[in-house]
Amino acid sequence: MKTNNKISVMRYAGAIFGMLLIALFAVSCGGGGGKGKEAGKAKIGAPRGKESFQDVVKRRGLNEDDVLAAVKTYTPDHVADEAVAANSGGQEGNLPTYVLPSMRMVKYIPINTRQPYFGYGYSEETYNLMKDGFIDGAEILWGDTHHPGFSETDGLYNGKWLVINDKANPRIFIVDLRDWMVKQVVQNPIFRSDHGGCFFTPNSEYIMEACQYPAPFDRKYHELTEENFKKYWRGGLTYWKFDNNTGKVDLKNSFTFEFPPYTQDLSDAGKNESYGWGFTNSFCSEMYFGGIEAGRPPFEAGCSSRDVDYLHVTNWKKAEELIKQGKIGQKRINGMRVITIPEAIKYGLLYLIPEPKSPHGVDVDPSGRYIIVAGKLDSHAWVYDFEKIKKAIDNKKFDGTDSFGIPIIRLEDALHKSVEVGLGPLHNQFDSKDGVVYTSIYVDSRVTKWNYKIDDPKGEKSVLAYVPSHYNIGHLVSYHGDTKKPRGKYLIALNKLSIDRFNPVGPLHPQNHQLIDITGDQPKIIYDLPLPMGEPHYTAIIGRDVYEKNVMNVYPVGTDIVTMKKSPYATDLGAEKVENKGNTVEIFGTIKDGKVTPSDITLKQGQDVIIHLTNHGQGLNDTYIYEIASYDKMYPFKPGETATLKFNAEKAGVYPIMLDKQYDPSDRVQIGLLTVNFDQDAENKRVLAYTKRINWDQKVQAFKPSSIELKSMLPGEIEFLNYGCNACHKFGEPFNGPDLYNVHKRRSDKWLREWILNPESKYKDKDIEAMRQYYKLAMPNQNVDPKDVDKIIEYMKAKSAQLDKQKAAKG
Amino acid sequence: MKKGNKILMVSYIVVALLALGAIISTYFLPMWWVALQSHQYPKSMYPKGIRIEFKYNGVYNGCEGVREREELAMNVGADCLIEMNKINHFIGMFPIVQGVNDLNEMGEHVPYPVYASDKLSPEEIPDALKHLDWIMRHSHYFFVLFAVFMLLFIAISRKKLSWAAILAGLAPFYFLIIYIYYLYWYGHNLGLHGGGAFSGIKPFMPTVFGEGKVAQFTTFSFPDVGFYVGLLGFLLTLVAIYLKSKYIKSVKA
Repeated sequence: MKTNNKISVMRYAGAIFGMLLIALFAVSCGGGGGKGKEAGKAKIGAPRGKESFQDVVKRRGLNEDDVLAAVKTYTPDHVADEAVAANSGGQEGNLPTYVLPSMRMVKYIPINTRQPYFGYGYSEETYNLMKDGFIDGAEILWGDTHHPGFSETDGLYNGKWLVINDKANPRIFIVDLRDWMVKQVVQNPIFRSDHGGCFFTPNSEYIMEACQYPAPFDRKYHELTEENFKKYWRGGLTYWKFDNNTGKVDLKNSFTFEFPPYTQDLSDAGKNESYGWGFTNSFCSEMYFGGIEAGRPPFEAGCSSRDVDYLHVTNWKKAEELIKQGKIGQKRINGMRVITIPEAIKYGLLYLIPEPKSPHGVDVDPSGRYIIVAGKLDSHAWVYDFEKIKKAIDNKKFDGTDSFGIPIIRLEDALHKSVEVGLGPLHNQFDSKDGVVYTSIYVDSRVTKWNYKIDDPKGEKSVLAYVPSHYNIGHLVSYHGDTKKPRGKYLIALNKLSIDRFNPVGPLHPQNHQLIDITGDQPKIIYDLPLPMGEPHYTAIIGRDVYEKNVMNVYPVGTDIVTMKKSPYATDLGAEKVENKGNTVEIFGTIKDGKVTPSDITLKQGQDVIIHLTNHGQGLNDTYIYEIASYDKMYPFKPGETATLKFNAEKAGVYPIMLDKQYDPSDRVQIGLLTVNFDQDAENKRVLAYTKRINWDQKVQAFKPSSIELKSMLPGEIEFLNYGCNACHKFGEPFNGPDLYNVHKRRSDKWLREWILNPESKYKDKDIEAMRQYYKLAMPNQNVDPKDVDKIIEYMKAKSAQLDKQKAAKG
Repeated sequence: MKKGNKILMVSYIVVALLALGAIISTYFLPMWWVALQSHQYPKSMYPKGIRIEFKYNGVYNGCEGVREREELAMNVGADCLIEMNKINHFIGMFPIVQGVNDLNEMGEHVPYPVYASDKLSPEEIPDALKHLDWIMRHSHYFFVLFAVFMLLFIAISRKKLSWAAILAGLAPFYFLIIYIYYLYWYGHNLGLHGGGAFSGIKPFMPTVFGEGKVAQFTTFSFPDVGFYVGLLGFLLTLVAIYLKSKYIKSVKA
């Protein structure tokens, strides 16, 4: 009751404060629109048009809370935004960022999708970077970016690096906060999916990336049986060795804990007293693997039949030492060092603790002592005490092991308390106020503010406030909420459904990120941001003051923006050159003040073209988009950047080269010409390649007549169509190639047979040469099966006879 | 044999026929409604909350306009009944038996609820629910029986036959008994953990009448028009019995 009173008093005070603010605002706006003329004379904050502040409030149907929210978020040009939020963009493949508290979008960082705005994947340098993420040779140009995390020093954000994982394909992407661009793509060589990443250890020694669904580590085929599932399928947790200075992940010094084939969810790294430890959720300790077609329950149901799952506690610090001593982790699978389950058990590196059903978030509090786990299918959040966990480990007090022999710590020996927070708790984020945590509640669609520290055996005093969210909240994030020093102030609820919050726009509607002011006792929603993109799953917020000093707006001239070093192809002004090496033309050029040198490019058809351009502009507006549109080449050169474009000049012709100044209102300007001179051999090659493609397509989509169609067809007609002869030949008139009417009378069967099977052998014949000149095409080798040649010839004869008949009938 | 008072005879017949009409109409009218309200079901989309209606022969969507919602339009059977089942499954509650309202994707009747067949194989469905399903699907036979009883009561003017009229007139109370029994059953059989339900939910008795609170959902449970019409039918039945007894007395007099 006391707290209730307190809350209502605070509310009252808040309301009065709000009224005061409005009054202040109104006064500054010229003391009300009633005195229109006078108001118009006020110098500062004069109402626009005739409406006064009160008029606008009335017309738009706003209330006091609305106006207060507007005052808290509106950011005019003379006020700076305080922080920036980095979002996962789901299958969008971008990492969108927006600023707080104004909630305005500022940048889309491309992660795993080609993006024209950035040029990501359009230059050789950036495409080669993306190639590092192609798994087993498959070109993967999408992903499901999931959990962004900022690099840390001493448990605080250092503003240097941002890492995000791709859940669909087990990869992590390192973003450099100097230029907000991906610099490294790392694929996990033994996982098939990942989820619990990316979480930095307090000094960015490692990045934690936990597996999601278990799969055979060797990535090979194993028949899916219960026995094999237990034998080959494995979950796991990778600690990626990270260098805080260079921002590079080092596979050689990274290691992976082998886990039983449970399914991992999120992770978090310990800090302060739990430093050196990591915590990873898992569900499906049932080791269920689905099979509704075999009459088994659906996957999620089968995975939720037990009432508890296991929190995995790993000791990375000790593991690191033991690896150095050569005692563990000598086994490498696909290049990844693996700490096997027996090794982890032997040296006390891995423990299990029961945790609430279907766990999502595991979050270590700022002190490092408490670990909070929220499980979707338990209405309580469970608070673990690391001191107790440590004690149980030191005393070797275990409650048996799981079927893999991993010791299980008894729940009572680890739990501090559990608090009923609502239906469907998911994730936890910490406030600057000691002991205050916010948990997202999925089924209830709200955020529960509660105290995880106070001793409250019945759990009655722990819950402090509820905030409705709109709707179906998933993650939530507070300002520096996972560091040693959360900043409080802001909380963002990441809602999956927006229902009625925005204008209707069809079945694919935006998700809703709600900014919540958490300064008062009762948190208040102050902004709704629609996010129209693939599932924006999770967000991390970083203060502008932390990273701002590291940001660069221009690169030193000649920078390869992937390596951040001077490009070997950087070209000085005046040193531009064109190297013609027969099959290849390599151009070293420059861009300066809207001019490209060399501006014109002249080539022979069929040559490979490599264009290295260095942008010598060093101004904020010196980003130039270089385009050779008909060759599908485009790249925005950032100030100082050197990048490479590569293509084969397969088509002859004259193509405009355009340059567009990205930050200038002028249109695209033609700055030169690409001239590709005609070359007969190259042209033949192109056409052959082209017809080969058509031929292939036709084979794939071979003509399959119905029985009725078959009756009306001439002998050999199917073969004629399926080898694509009709693409160039007709009967009774010339087409792309010569008329085939009565061709059997002009040529012998033997000649036709040779010609169809091996046209190259007759290219040099005089009459054929003449026809090639005439049609600008050479008869391609259609790889006709020798069995089918006679059928095709038979068809030519039959078709000619049919035409003769028709002509005769017409008279 | 003497003839009785004609006016009494006509009036008991008319009143009994009216009672029968009222009782039969309850078959077609919703008897009870239940709604859940919560902020995540905004008024603009769900003016009455997640509302479902109970009839003798089945359970129905009680939300207007929900089918027109774009994101639900393509979903066969998308309505508040589905939504209600979704909420219930989180606490391990069995899906609501839908009676004759229960159609599969082909628009055919299927033995068990559409939603349930998703989560439950036929063998797993408890007997109690199979019985409920049977009652709903055969409820029209009960009404034929009520009509027969009432017509017997009307036609055989020499005997009182009050029991026949009462058996028919109690129709709304039969509903109420079944309804309360199954509310209790659903609240005490939270066995559907396979669907991904919360652990540690205690059995409870859902609100039968009035307003309640479960988590942050406000629940409403009230009689609907059919129940009131049924009550009227019951009262008319009593009146008819009274008139008939008077008439029989007039015959004897």
